[in-house]
Amino acid sequence: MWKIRQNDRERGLAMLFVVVAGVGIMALSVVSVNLTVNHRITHDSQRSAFFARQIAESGISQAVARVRESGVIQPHSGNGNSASWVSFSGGDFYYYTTFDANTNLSTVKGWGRVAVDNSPSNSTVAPDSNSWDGDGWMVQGAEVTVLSSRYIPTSPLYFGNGGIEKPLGGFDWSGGSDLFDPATWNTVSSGRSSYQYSDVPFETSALDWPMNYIENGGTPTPASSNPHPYNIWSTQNAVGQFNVEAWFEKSANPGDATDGLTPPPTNTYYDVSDKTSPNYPYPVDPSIPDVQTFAHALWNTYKDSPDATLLSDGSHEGTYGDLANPGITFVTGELQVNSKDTFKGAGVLVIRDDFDPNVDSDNTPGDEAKLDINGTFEWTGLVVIAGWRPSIDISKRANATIVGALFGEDSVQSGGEISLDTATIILKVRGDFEILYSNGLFTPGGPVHQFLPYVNKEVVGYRNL
Amino acid sequence: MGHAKTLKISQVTTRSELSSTRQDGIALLEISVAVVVFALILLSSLLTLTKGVDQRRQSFQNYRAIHAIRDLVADMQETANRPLNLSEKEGIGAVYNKYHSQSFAITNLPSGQLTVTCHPNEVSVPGLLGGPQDLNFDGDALDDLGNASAGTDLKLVPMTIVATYVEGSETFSLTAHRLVSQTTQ
Repeated sequence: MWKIRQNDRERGLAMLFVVVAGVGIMALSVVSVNLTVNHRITHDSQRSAFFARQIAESGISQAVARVRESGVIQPHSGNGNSASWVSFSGGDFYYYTTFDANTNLSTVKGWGRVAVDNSPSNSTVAPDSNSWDGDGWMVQGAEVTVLSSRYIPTSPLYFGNGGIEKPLGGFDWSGGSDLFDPATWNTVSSGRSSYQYSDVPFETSALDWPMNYIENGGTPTPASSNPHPYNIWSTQNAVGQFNVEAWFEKSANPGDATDGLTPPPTNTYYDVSDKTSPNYPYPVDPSIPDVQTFAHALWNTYKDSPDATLLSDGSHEGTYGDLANPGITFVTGELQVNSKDTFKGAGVLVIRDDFDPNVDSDNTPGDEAKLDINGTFEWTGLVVIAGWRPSIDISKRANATIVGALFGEDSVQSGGEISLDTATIILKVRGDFEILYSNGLFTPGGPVHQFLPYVNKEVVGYRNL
Repeated sequence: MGHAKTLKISQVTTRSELSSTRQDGIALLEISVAVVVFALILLSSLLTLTKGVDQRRQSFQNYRAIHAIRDLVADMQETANRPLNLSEKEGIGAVYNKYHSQSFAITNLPSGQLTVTCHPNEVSVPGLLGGPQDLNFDGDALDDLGNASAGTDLKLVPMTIVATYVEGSETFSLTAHRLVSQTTQ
């Protein structure tokens, strides 16, 4: 007969083996379960950390975008007067900004949090506050440093995204227009919005004129050969470039793109073979700040300054600063210069609508930004026109001269419906209009340099908190 | 008589054998129980180990999905930080046009795929992404920046990125929400 065990000793050994093996496997199971549980916790933590990080970076992206684009100096999360937690992606983000005027550095501190407990704390303060209670939250944070620098104009004309509003031959929407494919762009053949009379061509000079030209006259520095240091007209994108070229080629004297321009946009002075070259006479330069941001930054900085002159919508004349005492002048609404009147000054002239991004939520302005000249207009420095549906109208009897540069509005923050064909500036030139670039006004030490806002913003530092 | 004696001895032997067989039977039962218990322990242990391995594999796949999302967000940030160039689809204004409704394979995940949905209409930005939200910083949240006529005016791009992959017969997904803006000059 088959026998398994012969005696108690063997039986004992067998039992011992079973017990040891059982305990061993049990221990292995416990370890495995423990590892699995630990792994699960790690996995959940990693996942929560990932989501918290995405939320934190989303909040910081919003903060940086607001610093860069809206002209708001110290943005914070939420709609109140101080930072608050804002619901986002199943969690919340929180950020606040400090600005050091000595170093021109904005520091954004931002956090994202997701609940890892059924009843997390209801703490409403920042995680770097002494009273922060982090119970039940997975928190990820980062600190971003944004450096601001002044933008120095390097061409007599700069209009934003779309350049000029629908000149003849310029950009016009059609059903199949694709902004990303110039081959699909339609051109304005009738119903143009902007124009210049052929008998009084728009005179634009990218030479370096004496900054006191209006008072003393004089001649500009002779044109240097290719590459010429200053461009005739800069825009932010290819649509703007398309409109500007159409303006010069077809608006006044069809077929003559050089009329009224010094130096002529030829290969003697510019690289005309490559539209993407920075040496093209009408280059696309997306690094140029939005004009509206420029205007908002000036408004934020100087609106309460005793040195600023604030003019309301309507007719104005007189002198607003000179080269010895340049200033900053704001016109909220339309600046009208009547026939026989003279409006002159030096420094920065900002013609804006009455939308203030710091306090207004409705961006449809009551007073639109317009420059309407029937008399004499003379400005040394920078003229900025930014707002909703802005326009420049130089009447047949007018005589307008800008020594320095003219910035026009672009689509961003303009209010109303946003589209590139209306996100431009209407430019009607029927009388004498000269825009003569003068570099010395803007470079460090020049009379206007001190007023140029810190609109170039770049993230120069990032660290996890 | 001799036959009866023999029979008696035989009966005794048979009883003894019966006793021995009973003893062997109990041992077998013990072994069977032990084997069953052992097998159960082993089975549960193996199940635990297998489940643990599965879970770790899923976690690993999840890390890969997270990594893929991070990679894609980094690519988007790179696009956003370049100067605006419409024809090359570069710059913050081109992010929507370049990535919206696009799918990207995740090479190291079985049937792994990333799908991007941008939300350019300020009014209908999902509440989960803070909507309605001002995406061009014009002071309101009323614009549809997904229109061809306004696509380049996006300065802040809300998006949903979904990573999906197949494990056995099951499909897993990971959803992340992001805001992307330009961070360089």
